[in-house]
Amino acid sequence: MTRRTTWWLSGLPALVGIAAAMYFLAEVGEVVELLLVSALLAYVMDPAVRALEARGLGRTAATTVVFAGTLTLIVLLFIALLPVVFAQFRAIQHVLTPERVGEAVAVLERWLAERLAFLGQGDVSLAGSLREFALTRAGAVLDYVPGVMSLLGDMVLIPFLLFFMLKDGPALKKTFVACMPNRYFEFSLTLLHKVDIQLGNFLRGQLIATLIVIVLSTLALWLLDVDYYLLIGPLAGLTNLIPYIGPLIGIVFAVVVALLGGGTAYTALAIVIAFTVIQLIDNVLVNPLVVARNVELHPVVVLLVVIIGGHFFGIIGLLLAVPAAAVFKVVIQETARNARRYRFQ
Amino acid sequence: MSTFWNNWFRSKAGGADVRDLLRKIPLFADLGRKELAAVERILHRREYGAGEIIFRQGEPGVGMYIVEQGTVAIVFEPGERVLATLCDGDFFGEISLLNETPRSATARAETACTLWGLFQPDFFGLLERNPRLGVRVLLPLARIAGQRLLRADHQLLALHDELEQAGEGNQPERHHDTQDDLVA
Repeated sequence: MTRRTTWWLSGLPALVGIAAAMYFLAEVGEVVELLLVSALLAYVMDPAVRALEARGLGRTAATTVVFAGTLTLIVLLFIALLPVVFAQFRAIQHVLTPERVGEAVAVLERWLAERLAFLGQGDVSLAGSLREFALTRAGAVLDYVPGVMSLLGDMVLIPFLLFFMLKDGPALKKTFVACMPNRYFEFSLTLLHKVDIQLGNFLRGQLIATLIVIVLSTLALWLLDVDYYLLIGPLAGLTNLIPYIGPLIGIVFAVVVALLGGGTAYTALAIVIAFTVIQLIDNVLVNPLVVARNVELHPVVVLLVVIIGGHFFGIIGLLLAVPAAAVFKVVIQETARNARRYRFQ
Repeated sequence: MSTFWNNWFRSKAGGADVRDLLRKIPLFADLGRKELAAVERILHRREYGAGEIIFRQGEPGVGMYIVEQGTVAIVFEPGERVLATLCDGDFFGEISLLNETPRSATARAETACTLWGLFQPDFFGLLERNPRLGVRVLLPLARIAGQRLLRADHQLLALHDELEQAGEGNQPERHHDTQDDLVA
């Protein structure tokens, strides 16, 4: 039997294992989603807990202080910004009325018809297609009602899980290592440590980069006197987590809302320029500084994981696909690297 | 029960006994009760069967072990030369707490053993959180490293003298200038 065939045969159980794991993950998707979100947040907040521990606080006390502080900050921000956000939300609802969207679509139709006349396309019925789409998808709206309920549930469960993951993180790690066979004890300790450092840096970097894009986008829209800047800015920052298409979604959304809100072509152009500059700042200045280089993923991998994430876990899946893939990559990479050092292969 | 299950289900064992064990180790002799409890929290309890390898020569050195009970042989490969035999209350691998150099010898359990492992990154984390504790542990650690260096230097000098007396044709060149250079 050739070496290659042997390799495939020995790799077969691993492939079956991965397939079984994928099936299991898809089946318990919601639980995995909750655990993943909580674990990622715990990673991001852990340095603050450690800093307090260094000042003499116990782990539980430090976790409580960080947790309470973060919660207070969120609530205060919520209270301070809620009236403005709510007013902007109400206003955006007035802007995005079916009539106005219809008008915008009609303008677009005429514009397209004029320019595509050479194709012999007499009538571009975008409105018809949209109406048809709305009718067929109307039922799907009902599907989102339980989604909203589960979102409320998540808002309670995530802080609960987060608190215990943050408080008991070191103990969980110790328990995990305790169940390792002796031959793999030092290896698993080293592996966990290396993965911990790389992922911590990557995730905290991503968070900082996202916060910077949120602040810059909101500031740019406010300076350009675009209404609803408090809604579009953060949204543009969050979509930035989705590689390649995320920034585009942010720009398109901002331009459409600005135009529907009575903005001129000049405003639209200014938004495009501002968001492009922010993207440049993000990619040239912020990302190289804060996001770990060795966690970089190949563009094809990024695209695939975003599609898979979106398919299995919806919007949260889209946003968390890259961090989750980074977790996977770092674990595989460090396992292979350390397995060589410990002569397992 | 196999060592695997023992490691898992008895990992939480500890308390006053472990603190007593730690007090006997020169590294932790100066620590107070609370500080010893902080060290205990980052220790890993491991059980090994007779003949089981604890770590192999050449593997990355990631921490030290304290023998709670049993006998451990430190073996130099190749040749299986036993450098030391350690028993209850002894410790080994402490230099790995300072830097991740490859293990200079293999550690093997001669009898069934209960060991407590202290992992370097956990130790560094503790020093970061509690620098006072750090000073109290690092000073004895530096002292131990210094003593070992001094002992190694004496052995090297003795070997050198033996070689000279044996009248070897090519006398080995001395690799150090002064005693101070070696001990520093």
